[in-house]
Amino acid sequence: MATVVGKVETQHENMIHDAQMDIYGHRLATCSSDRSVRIFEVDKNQHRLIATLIGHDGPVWQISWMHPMYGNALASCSYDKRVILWKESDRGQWTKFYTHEVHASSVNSIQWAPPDTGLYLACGSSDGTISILQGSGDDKFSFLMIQNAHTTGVNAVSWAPSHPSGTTLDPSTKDYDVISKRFASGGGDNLVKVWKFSDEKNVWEMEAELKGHNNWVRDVAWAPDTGFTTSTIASCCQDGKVFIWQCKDLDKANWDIKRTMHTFDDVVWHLSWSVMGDILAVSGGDNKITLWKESHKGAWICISKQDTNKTN
Amino acid sequence: MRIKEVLRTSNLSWSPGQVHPLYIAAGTSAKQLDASFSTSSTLEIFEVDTSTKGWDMPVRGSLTVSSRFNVINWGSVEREMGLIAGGGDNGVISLWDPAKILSGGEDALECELPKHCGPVRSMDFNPAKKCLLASGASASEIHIVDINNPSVLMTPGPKAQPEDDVVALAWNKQVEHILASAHPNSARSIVWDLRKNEPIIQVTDASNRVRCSCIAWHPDVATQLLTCSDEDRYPVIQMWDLRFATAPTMVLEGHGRGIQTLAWCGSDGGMLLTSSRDDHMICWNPNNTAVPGGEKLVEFTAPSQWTFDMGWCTRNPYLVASSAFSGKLSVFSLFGGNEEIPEQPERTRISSDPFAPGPPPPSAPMNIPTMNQAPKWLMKPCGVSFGFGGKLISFDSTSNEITVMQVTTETELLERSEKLEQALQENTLLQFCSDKADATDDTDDKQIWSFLKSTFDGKPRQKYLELLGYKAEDLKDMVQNLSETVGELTLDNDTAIINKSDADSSSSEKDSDKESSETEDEGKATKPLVIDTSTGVDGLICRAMLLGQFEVVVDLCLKAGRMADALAVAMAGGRELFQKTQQEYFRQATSPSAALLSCIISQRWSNLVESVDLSNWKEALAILLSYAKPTEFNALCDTLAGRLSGDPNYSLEATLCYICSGNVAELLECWQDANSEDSSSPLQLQELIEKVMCLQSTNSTNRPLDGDKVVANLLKYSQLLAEQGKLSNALTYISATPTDAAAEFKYKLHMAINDPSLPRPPVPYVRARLPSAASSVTPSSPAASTYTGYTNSTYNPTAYTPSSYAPSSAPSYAPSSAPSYTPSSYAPTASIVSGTSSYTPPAKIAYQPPAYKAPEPPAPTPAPQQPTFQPPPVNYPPAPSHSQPPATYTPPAPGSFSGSSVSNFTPYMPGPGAEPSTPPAKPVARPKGAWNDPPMLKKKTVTIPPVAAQKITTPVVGPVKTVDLDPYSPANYPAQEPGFQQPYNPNSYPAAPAEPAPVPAPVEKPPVPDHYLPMLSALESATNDCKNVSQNPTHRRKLEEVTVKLEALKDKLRYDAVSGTVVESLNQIAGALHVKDYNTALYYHSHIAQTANFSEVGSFLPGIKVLLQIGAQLHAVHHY
Repeated sequence: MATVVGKVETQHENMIHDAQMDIYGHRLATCSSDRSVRIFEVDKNQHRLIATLIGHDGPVWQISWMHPMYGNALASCSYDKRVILWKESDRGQWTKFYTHEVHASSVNSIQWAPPDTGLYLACGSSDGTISILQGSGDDKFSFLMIQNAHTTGVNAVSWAPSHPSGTTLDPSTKDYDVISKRFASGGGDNLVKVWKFSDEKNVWEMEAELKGHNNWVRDVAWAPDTGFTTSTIASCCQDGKVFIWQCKDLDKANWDIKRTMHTFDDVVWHLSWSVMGDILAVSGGDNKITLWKESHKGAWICISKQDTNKTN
Repeated sequence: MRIKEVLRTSNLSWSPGQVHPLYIAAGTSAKQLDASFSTSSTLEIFEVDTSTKGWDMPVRGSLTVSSRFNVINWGSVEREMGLIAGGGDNGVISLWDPAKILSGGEDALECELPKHCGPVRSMDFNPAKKCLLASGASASEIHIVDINNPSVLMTPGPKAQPEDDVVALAWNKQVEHILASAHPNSARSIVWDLRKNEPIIQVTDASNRVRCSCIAWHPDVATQLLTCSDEDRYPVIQMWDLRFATAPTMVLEGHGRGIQTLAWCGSDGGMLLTSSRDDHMICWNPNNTAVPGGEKLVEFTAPSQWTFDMGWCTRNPYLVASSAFSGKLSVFSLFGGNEEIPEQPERTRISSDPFAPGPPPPSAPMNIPTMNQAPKWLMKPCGVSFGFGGKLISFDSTSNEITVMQVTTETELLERSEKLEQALQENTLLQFCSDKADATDDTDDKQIWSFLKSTFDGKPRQKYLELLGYKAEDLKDMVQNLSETVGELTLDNDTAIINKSDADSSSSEKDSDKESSETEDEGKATKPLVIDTSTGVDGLICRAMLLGQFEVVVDLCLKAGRMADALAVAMAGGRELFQKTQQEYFRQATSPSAALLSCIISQRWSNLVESVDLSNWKEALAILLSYAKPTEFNALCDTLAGRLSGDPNYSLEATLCYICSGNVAELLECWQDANSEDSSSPLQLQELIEKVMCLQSTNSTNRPLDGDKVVANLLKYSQLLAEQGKLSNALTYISATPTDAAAEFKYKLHMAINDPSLPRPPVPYVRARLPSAASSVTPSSPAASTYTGYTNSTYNPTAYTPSSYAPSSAPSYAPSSAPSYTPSSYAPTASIVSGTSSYTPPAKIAYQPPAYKAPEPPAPTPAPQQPTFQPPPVNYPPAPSHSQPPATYTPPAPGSFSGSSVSNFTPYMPGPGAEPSTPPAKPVARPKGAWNDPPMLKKKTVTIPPVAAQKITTPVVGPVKTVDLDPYSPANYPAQEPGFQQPYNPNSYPAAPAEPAPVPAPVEKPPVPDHYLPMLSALESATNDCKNVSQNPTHRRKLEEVTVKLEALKDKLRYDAVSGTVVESLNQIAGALHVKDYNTALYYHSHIAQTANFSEVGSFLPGIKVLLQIGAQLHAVHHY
């Protein structure tokens, strides 16, 4: 079901920690413990390194592409406590254009909010806080801080779809005014938390606390809108468990459905939903990639399993 | 960063991994007295809450114990909170239940283990067999106790000689029966094998007699052991590998004085923290053997002086706890953080002791640097991430390659999609529908597909009628049968079947016979005409007629019950009189067919569809199919369908009606409502899309693919295809929607396909400026809602151009093989031969109305347009008041009806292949020899269909003002007077108007803009070339079609209704044709097909394809 169609030799000198395609699949950004971010142009069977971004003083954990309305730009976060925003000039030169340096410890996870939600970058740090960098109307960045989001460090952040579930696919029900400013986070306190922006108070408030993991939550992934009204979050744990959390009514924040998708033998490090939100890709410490799909009966079925680097 | 600090001089141990929240157990150290010389001892449990500010750690449980401690060890021991073991200065090891300490219970002491001979110096819980506790004391005494059975005392082997303190003990992390012990005075470490119950190796530095203060096994490598030197003169850490135990494999050098204690991180074996008496701490990477003297990750001044105990937290490896003789128990992190020193560090030790020392000096700010090396637990070694188009990228720690994969999950859907795509591209949808209809077992589905198939037929309405069970041929047979049984009788009596009132008057029959003799066939026309002018009814009628007093005649006839005569005369008496007479007739008529007839003649279709019993939906639909004007047909059909869809029992029927009306949007609503439970599956969606695309591609609809449901489904389908990696196909489908809602997705597809030859659609968002500076460092004003630029701009329908809404113009409705027909070439004289007995218009005239441009808002309603041709001449004898018909026709004076003129009521008999569908059946009273007797009735070969379906042509020829040659063309229908209804019959030539309206002058089409002409002429000359070369009749027929399609293109170009990108491609095609490069031309053709709107190019693109295909074929064969 998953066919290897290409390989990109990254030339990173150390472990790779993240790889993300831009929205159109033209470009691939990778980051590594070698403190660099690399950008490749990927076209069918060819790839070409177009930039190596040097600027971090520590391993670079994650990258997140900005929406193309901002041009070619991305954010990277690092063990050096910093988040750096990079952009490509018209001449193809990549430069830093902003450094977000408010965390007291490693910044482990970043993600830009969906474009409709606004220009927000959630940053989760080992210092237990989450900062939300936001672009305000006056060409300035500001940020809000969530203190003690996860007391033993934030490992992952993931934004909710910009509009209430079930509305983004059907234009008739899409209400452009109803924007769901929410994201989920997971951390070393074994918890998954859902945060919501309160317009009145101008703060990010915890809306739900999802308990169930018995060890570090390694990644959380809020599923894209699948056309159903149920919201879904997947989370994975140091102990190999992957949970699927569901909420029928986001405004009531009743995340009362928790299902164990699978228990792996090794740490589960990374989760990623397909663009349509029907397939969940899981990456585990055993270097295997598995793809999961929910059956009609609600059980999660593994539809593909393969070694990351084995060509089939 | 220092996180917590309390004033204690205690041995410590972190709570094990399973315990939450974090605790530290601390027992008063025996090695030190504070200034109070207090010898009391407490065991306390501190909670370490990193989420609270301030350095204080609350004491959650406390016990006063008898002896002070040399070592505390909190083991995980198969219970929820584990067990705390305390090695006392008195040689006793006590075990406490931390849960009970926390709840303040007195009976927290679980048990005491057998007493050591001297102070307990070291303890370690076995990491695998968690109930095994090893403890060491003086005189080389090592005890191993199963705490579940504490009375049984074990030893690892014989006591080591000479006797020595056992200052450190460590279980191997991998091999559960291996234990190491440190013996400082004899400068050696011993490794014990508990299976053999004896020491198996001694580790000792031959060159330096090093007093060992602590010992530890590598967390990951079973054979590696390290020892720390307590010697100030040689303060090193030695790494040993037991496979080469003669000398240390590495020596970590850096401390200035003897090493007191160590903590090796369990979560990252590359982090070893040691603390020496010079108050320095060093974190080493003991795994890096390349750096001589060891790799120092970080070196810093200890949080407090003389650190003697340290622990790396298992649960949260960011945290290290240390205890120092200076009286402080600290928790700190090597991973950054801004240390905030509380203004007044609270004293947590509250003592009423008058000798208690004063408050300790405030903690000095301490700079614990952040380690440059990121810890292993943050190192994501592998990852996976989905990209657009079902791309999955992944990596792992085994290489520095990124693997790109294509995920496909819907193989069956892709196969079916491929088929549909092929059918759409090759224009073989008829076959496609046919195959679908054959393949399905579901009767409902079969019917739906049959209906869809019919839409591709040249005469869909007729096919629909057949599918409904009304087939003209069947009817013919049925009539034949009927004629054979009752026909003789009818004709013998020469009585109209339906006119019951005729029966009573035989004399009138004779009279009418006489009167109408002129109108009869030649064989009978020789009878002399005798005019009765008596005072009887007949006589009066004749008199009135002589005077042209038709109203009187009608009145007389009605009174005499001679309905047929009344109607016949009324026809001559003008429209008003005729209508009145008609109404009178229907008032009197009682037969069920008359009711239907009444309905049909009164043309109240909306009444019909609104009131007809749903069980008669078929008949209602049949009537609409037969009679309704194309302009009204869809709306009426929709109304009927709407009613049907309201009743769950009629959902299939509603679907069929929507197919007839080509209403894709409603069809979807209806179809999805009926199949709500499973329409979400991809294959259901595929089925749905197949139907939608078929219906949309038919030539009977010009509705754009609009409507929320349609767009939503196409979008979903397109997304589904995109996710399977079929980006081009996805683009085809989403391009069919005119709505701007999918503009972003369309753009995304374009970008993802990244084909420079494809025209790039407008960017669906406004380029935004990147913020540059920070507005403030602290949380700021509510910026959350201020950023709206994107939200508002994305959905501006910039990508949408009104022209794409222009419904395809008439050519798609033009019957095939029709010659192109332009208004100017049409004149009444061309098609009507005045005075001949049968009017034969050119077979299947295709009328090309000018393409119209939709009004700016996306309302596809065509602007009413004047008919651009003259109506056919009036063949009906006009009333005296009639205006002058076209000059070519000389109307007979009233009363002087010539035989030839009568035939103008005869419906046009269709061309080859058409059904004989229009004999004027059920005529009104037909007096024998009446002037308007259709001649064919006199012939035995002509049948009288008794059914109303298709025979009403004659009676309805009432107030026709304008006539449409092509009933399919909506544009041909100007706004007509209400109530007017033209019977639909694809083959019937519309009857003449009784009252010809002033003939509207043909509207001149605007000229095709000059800049299109080269392209057009290239296409036209290519067509002509092909025509000249090819002898193949199929080719010629197809080429005729091409000509029609090119007309459609012309019409579009006249109004600039073709988008620039399409024109660009057309120019390319024209250029390619010029050099006979058909491949290139076909390439641009498919490019248009893939990118342009169906509604925009549907009317002419198939023609171009046919032209190119034939051209390519001919070129290959003839090299013309």
